[in-house]
Amino acid sequence: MSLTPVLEVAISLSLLYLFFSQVVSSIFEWFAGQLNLRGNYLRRSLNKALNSGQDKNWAELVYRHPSVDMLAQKSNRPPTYIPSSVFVKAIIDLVTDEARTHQFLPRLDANSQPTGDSEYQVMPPMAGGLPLSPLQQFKEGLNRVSEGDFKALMRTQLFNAEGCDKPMDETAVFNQLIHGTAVWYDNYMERVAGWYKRAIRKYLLLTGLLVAALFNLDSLRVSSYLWTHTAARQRIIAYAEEVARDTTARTVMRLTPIAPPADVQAARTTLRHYQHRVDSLTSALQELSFPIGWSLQLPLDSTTLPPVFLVKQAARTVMLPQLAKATSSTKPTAIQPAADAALPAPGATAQPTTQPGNPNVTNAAAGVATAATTGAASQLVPTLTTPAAERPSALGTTINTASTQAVPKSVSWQQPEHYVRYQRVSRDTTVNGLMLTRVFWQKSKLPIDSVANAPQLQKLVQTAPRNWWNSLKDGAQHLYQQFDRWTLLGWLLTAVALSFGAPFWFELLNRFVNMRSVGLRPPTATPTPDKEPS
Amino acid sequence: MHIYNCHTHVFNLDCAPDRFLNGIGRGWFGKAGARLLQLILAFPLAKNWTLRLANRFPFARKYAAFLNIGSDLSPLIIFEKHLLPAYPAGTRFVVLPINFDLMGAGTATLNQESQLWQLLDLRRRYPNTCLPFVSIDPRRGSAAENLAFLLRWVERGFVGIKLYPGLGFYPFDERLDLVYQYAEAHGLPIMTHCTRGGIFYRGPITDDLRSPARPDGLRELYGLPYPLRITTVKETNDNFCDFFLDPRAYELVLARFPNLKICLAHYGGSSEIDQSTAANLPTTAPENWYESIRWLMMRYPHVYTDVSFTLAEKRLFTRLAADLAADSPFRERILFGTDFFMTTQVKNEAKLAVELMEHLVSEINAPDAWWQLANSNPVRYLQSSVYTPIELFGQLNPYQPSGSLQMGTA
Repeated sequence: MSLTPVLEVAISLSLLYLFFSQVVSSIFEWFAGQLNLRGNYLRRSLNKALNSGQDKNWAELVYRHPSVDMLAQKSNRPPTYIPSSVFVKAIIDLVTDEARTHQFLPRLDANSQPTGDSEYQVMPPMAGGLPLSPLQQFKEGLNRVSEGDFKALMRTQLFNAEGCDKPMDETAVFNQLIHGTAVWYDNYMERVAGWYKRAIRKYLLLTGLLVAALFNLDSLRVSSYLWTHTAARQRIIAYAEEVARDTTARTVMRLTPIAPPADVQAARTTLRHYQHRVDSLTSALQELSFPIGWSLQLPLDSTTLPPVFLVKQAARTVMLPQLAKATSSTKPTAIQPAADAALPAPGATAQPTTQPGNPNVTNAAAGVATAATTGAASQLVPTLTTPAAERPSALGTTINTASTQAVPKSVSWQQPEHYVRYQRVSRDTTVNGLMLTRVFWQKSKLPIDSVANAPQLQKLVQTAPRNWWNSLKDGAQHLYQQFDRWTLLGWLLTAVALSFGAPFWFELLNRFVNMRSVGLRPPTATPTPDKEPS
Repeated sequence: MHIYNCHTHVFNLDCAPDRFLNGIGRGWFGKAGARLLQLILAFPLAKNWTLRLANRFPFARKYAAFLNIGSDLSPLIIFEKHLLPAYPAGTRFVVLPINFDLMGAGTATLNQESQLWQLLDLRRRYPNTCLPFVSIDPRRGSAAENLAFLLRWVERGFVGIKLYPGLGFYPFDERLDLVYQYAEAHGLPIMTHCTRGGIFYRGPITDDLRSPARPDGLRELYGLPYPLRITTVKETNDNFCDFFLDPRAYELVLARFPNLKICLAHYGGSSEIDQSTAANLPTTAPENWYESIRWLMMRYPHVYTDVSFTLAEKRLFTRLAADLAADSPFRERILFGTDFFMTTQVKNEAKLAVELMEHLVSEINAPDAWWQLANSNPVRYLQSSVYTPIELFGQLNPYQPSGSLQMGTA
């Protein structure tokens, strides 16, 4: 079996994951920003590193030190990052503070008499009436720190600073102490970043699952569909190669999640941005033939409509029962089997009765119509038997050649009151050499008075809109019908894949595309020598 | 003259251990529940509804009070936002920390050392009005280590000692002996929790706790033989902790340190005051905590009590007024305190002091009783070698304790 189709399906999936992992990252970053996950994780990590036993909570004291406190945007949100220079200064000041003398002395008046008030005085540690050097002050303070992890850590830093080969003066040792502590902190921050990445994996997985469910990103369904649809695969591959050829800078810029917003207004803007981005992304991928997203259009049995009816356009929006549902989405989804060609709306299509990839079942998305099952559909001459590959515009869009005129979507507030008369009309026609019976609705406007004065016309008025509960039930049932027993597994696979992040999929996509371009390396006659043990 | 509020707390949720709020829901309502409540309390409308709901249930009231104010960012903010505005300028506040580290409820974001550090920071900003006490728990170390710990913080500006035996130790623990000795020698005031309920020890009740070592070597406590057990009701940590808090335990301490300046807070609690029926004090320490505290006050010259939390119950004002009457032997032993912020759910902090003052000044026409309660007694209580209240500056002869009250004069 040729590996090319496998590779192509893998490339297609990588492309899908690449785009949506960016969406997942952005959504997660937004939530992480709102909940300050990064800042809280850093705080917990510093607590873990610096606190022990009955010793002071040094990490918390660092956060309360003015130099660190001012980094926080709000007082109850710890900063997401503390630069090593700031951290070291705060730590050294806190340790030195242990050696300082804090006193509350009586305040004296001009005659050296106590006023009754207290005065706070802080004195650095002294020796012979002179303050000690910064290094000595630090050492004094460290001596007074309770035994624990923090003291051991600082003692090690001090030892390392002093433990150079050649003797150094105190200033040099103190500078070395600052430098050494900063290096330790930076190294620790690298580890914390790694821990954080691992810690958020579960949240990314959850977000990925939500996104997969929301946009119906079923990996199994997509794979199955692409496996059986060469043309669709080819289109995607062409686009994937374009993406892979894209300059790294542009791609990286595109893949960078949107920074978390600072305030509520910015958050709303960002949300709108996300919504727009996701909508456009989904549409774009659908145009590329990816079988993703939900079909929100309900099946419409046109036989339930009378051949002639009236709709009043009044001050209140009138939604004709089935027709209103048919207009709930302005764009058809990727796979829209045109089983009922008698549907009057371009986007209103019947449920898929076939599974993509099953060659024994007629594929509606490819524009192959089955014998219609409804009465109205029986008016359609089922002669569309052209293979999908030969119908360039068929892939991914509904070909509903029988629909030529839109039915009313809704009646707006502003229009003056009148009635619209709809009449179903059938006409034989030839499209691309195929014989079709076209079914469409003729529309005409009737004044209010003419209907009011004609009882026979009043009988034709559609006045019983469906209630919201029935509409909801129909909608839920319709969504449920798009489920199958593998859907959940497909979503889970997608969620796992999305949690790897956009950079991973970008790299993998590049590798796959390169592999497809140059082909797989043929097996060599001489096996690769094993690595020698180092 | 300044008012001295001798009993306030300003710690926040950061100082509370993980399972501090476990009283509700038996375990599942831990810090996560508290955080959830914090989130709710962040929204004013939700906060009002939650607090109103909590007020309907007595067990939830103290949690609501804690979360309402305790969820503020820092002790400094609690002090500045809630406490200072409720009193006239110049009011002094004794700020009491609580050592939650060893209560068996997990760890806190800020342990005792850090809590004290925050109080020190508070005093730096308010050197005249904030008078922090240092919390001592004998389980922290040996007697010498506990003394060293005390000295370290006293040197930094702490003016008294806070004991909270309900968190798992007996006041007569030998590891407190050096602390008591130092406190007695320097007149350092001690404030100890002395009412049923409140925060209690959550750890296992070990044999050591059931059979504590008494200084006199006896194998019984409060007339109960070792090992101590609650037999009248189902034994829980909450009611077992009454053994730690019983004022009769201080008899064992005061017998060895008779000049110890100690305040048994809350006057034993309002329920004990209500149940007290004795017209005259007996010769031995009574079981009723209110009577027991009075008995100790009669017996030892530097035993005090305060009206914190008790003053939230208006029906007790008459009794308090009687104790503050000119001829009362307890007139010089009762301190003003409110137990801020535990009382905020019962009454507004400003209202607490005003209601009591109005009662004393207007209804029984004893304005001096109010100042005795809010100024003279606290000044005497707080004066020590490390802190001199402004009222005593310039006095050549600092306060000398009055002679021991004689038994049976009440």
